[in-house]
Amino acid sequence: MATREAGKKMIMLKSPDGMEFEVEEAVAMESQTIRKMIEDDCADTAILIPNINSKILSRVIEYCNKHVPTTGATGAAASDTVAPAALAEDLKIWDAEFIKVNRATRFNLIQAASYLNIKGLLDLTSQTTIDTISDNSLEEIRSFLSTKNDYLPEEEQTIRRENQWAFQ
Amino acid sequence: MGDRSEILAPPPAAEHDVPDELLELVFLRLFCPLSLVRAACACKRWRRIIADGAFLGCLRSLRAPPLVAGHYRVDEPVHGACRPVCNPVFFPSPLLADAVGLRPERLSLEFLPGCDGGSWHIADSRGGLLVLNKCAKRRFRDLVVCDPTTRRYRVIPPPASLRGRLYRGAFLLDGDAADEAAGQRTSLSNFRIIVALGLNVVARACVFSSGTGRDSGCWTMAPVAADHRVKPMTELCLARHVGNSVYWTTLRTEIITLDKDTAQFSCSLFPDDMYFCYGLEFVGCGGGRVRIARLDHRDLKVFVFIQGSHEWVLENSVPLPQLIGEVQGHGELKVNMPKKVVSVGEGSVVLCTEKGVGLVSVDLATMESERLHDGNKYYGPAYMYQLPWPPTIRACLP
Repeated sequence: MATREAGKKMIMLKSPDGMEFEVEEAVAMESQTIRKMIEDDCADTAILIPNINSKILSRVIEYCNKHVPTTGATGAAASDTVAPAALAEDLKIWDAEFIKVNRATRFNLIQAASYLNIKGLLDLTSQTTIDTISDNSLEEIRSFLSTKNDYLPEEEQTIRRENQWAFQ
Repeated sequence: MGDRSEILAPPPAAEHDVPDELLELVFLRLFCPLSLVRAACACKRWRRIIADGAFLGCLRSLRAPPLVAGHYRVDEPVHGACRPVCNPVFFPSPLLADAVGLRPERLSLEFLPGCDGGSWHIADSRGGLLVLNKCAKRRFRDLVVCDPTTRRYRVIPPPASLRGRLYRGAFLLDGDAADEAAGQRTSLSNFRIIVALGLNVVARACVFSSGTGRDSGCWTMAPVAADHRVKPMTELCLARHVGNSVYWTTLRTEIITLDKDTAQFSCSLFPDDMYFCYGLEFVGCGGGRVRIARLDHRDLKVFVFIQGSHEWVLENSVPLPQLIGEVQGHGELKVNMPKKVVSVGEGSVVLCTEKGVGLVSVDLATMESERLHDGNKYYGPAYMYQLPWPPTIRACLP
């Protein structure tokens, strides 16, 4: 791992499968849940994050590292010279790469984002499903999202008739 | 290590295996009513999650402004007669037509019951519902309330004692059970209608409350205070809503107002006879202020209401040649072309031809005018239709 920079407070996050992650406090505070723990002085030396395994937790930390505001960062000479718009564009490309994961991981990330209360990550991880529902016909939604259609044919007919306006 | 983590968090293989509360988190981000309805139709579990009262309440609090789906175009009766046409026609908003391919027939009113050979006339639109009466009938008869998204309707017969009395219009109010936290909103089982009547030459209002659940609903007559007795001298015409009030013009110099909250009528004086004007329009101008724009042969006049005096006074009068002449643009505009004045949103009107072709828009506060070039756009009486939010997830299933 990177060497510890002077003047930055570090925090230890522990996953239930026994792995420990040392992260900057500012990075950890991207999570509103952790922020509250720190502000309420509930965080001693290490914070145990229940229900989130080390594989997912490391990805969450990766996300927070990338998204922590860079204001006042020292030693990051490169990012100081980049315009905010370019930075946002860079972040978008990074996000798109980040979310190229299988469905199981994506839903584990949603769960983690929800528990840790990281709005940006929750938006990002939900977006794939949202886009699929918004841009496709009912059959495509079912097939892309592997949803099993458990309506009887006559029930399906009723649904289509009663909600006709929403179908193309 | 890898094995242990798998035991701790069994990975869901598909959306189908995802726990309800995670799906809920995702669905809360569906801000388009069409997407929500489609998701609810994918399978029974999704529908159960989306149709849940607490979920709908959450959705409602997350997104306030309802989506305008488009408008129903209305032909106004001319001298009490109505064109022998059909039910009002739906025009989708360009936004929805482009984004999701919403076509006019999707929200057509074809599903309404027959109307004795005539057609239904929209009396009001609110919260995803329409209330309609039989066209060109000045008598209180059956009303129909419908939800065009689910293609369902309710016939509301008048109370026996009031059937056939002089009818001045019906207007929708939010339902009694408007408990937002529980996801309750105005719907076919939760609405009220206020009906304006003329009873023994006094203007009166009665209110229908839909009741909740299987309750069939009931009518109540709004009491009228002795000092609020309004006796219109002539026929009432042209009902317009601005804010919480409904306005009628008469043929003479009276304007009759119904406050929908208190169900009380009031009468105010207009400085001119309304016999010889092309058009007169009530325009909301922000902060509860209302202006009247009136077009005659020579001028566009603007009147404001003086609170406490029961009178409208002339605020501005601009000769038509000046309004039209000031306008920059190609092509010739003749002074005799504007025949109607139509309110278009807060504080401004459009002068248009008989057929609803917009010529000039005028800001009533500054009286500045601008030439219009959207020849295909129709300006005229129309009822804006807002999609119910959250959407009605009907599907009658366990």
